[in-house]
Amino acid sequence: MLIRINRTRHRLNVLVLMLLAGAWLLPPALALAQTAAPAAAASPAAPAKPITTADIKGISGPSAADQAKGDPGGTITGTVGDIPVTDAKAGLTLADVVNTVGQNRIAINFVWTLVTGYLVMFMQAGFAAVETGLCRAKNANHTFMMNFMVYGWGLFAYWVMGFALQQGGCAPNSNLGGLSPLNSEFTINFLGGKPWGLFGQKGFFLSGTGYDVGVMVMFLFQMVFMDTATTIVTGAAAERWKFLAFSISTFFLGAITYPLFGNWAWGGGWLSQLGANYGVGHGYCDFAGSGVVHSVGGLTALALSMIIGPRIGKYTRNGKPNPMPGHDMTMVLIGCFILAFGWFGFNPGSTLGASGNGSLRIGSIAVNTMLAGCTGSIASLLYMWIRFGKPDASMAGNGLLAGLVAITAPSGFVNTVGAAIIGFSAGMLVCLSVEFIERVAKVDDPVGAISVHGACGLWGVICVGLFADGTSNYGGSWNGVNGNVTGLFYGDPSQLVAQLIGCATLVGIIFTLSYLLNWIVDVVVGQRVGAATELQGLDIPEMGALGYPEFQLVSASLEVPAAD
Amino acid sequence: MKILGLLVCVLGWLIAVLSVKVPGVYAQLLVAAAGFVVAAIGALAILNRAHLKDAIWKA
Repeated sequence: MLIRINRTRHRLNVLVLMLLAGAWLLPPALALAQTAAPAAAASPAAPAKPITTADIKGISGPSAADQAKGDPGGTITGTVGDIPVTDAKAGLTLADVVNTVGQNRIAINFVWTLVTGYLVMFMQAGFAAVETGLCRAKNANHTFMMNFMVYGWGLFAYWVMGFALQQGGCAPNSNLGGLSPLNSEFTINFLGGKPWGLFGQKGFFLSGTGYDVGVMVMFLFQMVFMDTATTIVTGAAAERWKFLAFSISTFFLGAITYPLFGNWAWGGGWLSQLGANYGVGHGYCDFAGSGVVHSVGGLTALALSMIIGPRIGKYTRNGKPNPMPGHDMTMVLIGCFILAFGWFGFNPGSTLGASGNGSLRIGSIAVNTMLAGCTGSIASLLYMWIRFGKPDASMAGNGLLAGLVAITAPSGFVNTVGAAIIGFSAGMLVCLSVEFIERVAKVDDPVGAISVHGACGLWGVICVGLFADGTSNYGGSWNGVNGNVTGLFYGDPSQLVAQLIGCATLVGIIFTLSYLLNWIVDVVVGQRVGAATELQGLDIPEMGALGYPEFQLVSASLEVPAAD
Repeated sequence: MKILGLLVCVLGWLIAVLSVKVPGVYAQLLVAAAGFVVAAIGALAILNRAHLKDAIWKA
């Protein structure tokens, strides 16, 4: 007994030492990270000379004979000869050159945004693998199919109305050519007579003026983000969620709940305007969606988990939780890697371009992303190792995701030291939150989605208000407020106010709305499968086929553990 | 109790939003943080406790 107490005390001492070391290292590390870059060497002043059409008349491309020889070195491909000429008689004009430059910039941004959107879409496979691996084999088909069909239901709902509600009033956006058709936001006057944007009104079914190349790019990118939020919920409600209820609930999330908060944060809505209207920092800042995507998904998961209740056998009659291990840890870790790969679309892609308006910060954003994921997994691994004596694989995976979730909002505003701290703290937070949700709140979350996405998403939102270092400048202003986004540790406490209002909105309004919508679904069709179905496994009763038909499923967890 | 929990959530949001009208940035910080905490209490303490009253494992 004494040895056990001493060992526990030793582990606590190690934890305390880690925290103290972090607190001691934090200020100098942050100071080091914000050291100003040396000023650029002054270049000799050259007299400005406007370019005219006459200047470009003499420029000639490679001859046809040279081109016919091939271009192994790549030196004569892509020259003046490739610039389209609008009037063959007039030849190449300055207008042709300038228009080509402009179109190239937008083309770079279109391609960047589309490709990063494709990466985010692939994250669905990662979520499917993580959630299915963490569930029992008897529910494999059902869990995977929920992750598969969030793509279908979510996309459909978002195309019908979600995108219009979220982005229908988001114009202008110079990176994607203006997005001028998305120019109608429903607003009311509130709290001092200031305009509060509530939802967009253009782009339903992507028809009418929404039939626009820039709008299509925006739709694809925003749609895959919404889909990420919907797939978070399936993990928390896995192994007992009726497939019909899942389908309706996902439609609601993609059509109403997610787009509303998306509008308030990204579509020109009231949260983003807190800075312009009330002088609160730069308004609510969420670079890539710790709040918009992950907290919305995580809090919806919390609401649904409360309504649907825990799995049979998860708790004994005196409320003690029973472990219900997943069936495939390799699938879980492969899924985590897929998600980490997809996050390079999530965060750097949120510049919505690679050319102009400070978009070259994509390199910094990508490094911040990988660093936070790395420190998140290290923190979780160490926490579990110290506390339980083994380096737990599933929590190391969740730590990686926690770090990535937390860095999502601040990724565009912080330096690498800040990113590493944010990831590490999220890795610790997710372990504490999982224990709290399971043991204190007694909410059953088979995959830890509420902690990874809900808790760490909120932490990421707060981290913008703490760690934003005031160096990022996306075209001179953010949310209509001139200057750079700066957090408390770098001298601007007002940004933290805006972030806290965002967090309160997520818990106060979005959680409540999610709860009410899912309560309606519960009343109308019922959220939960019957007890016999749950004990048998949802694959046959709900889906009509087993995930692993040639396996014999033998599990002690099929039986309800007796009360102790 | 469930309705009370949801109302407390909304109250927390309202407190946080009203912080923009409070003079002084540190006072705003306190009020906004208080709003966030109140909303969290509404969700995790009041609403969840109401659900736990008739939890499946108590049957």
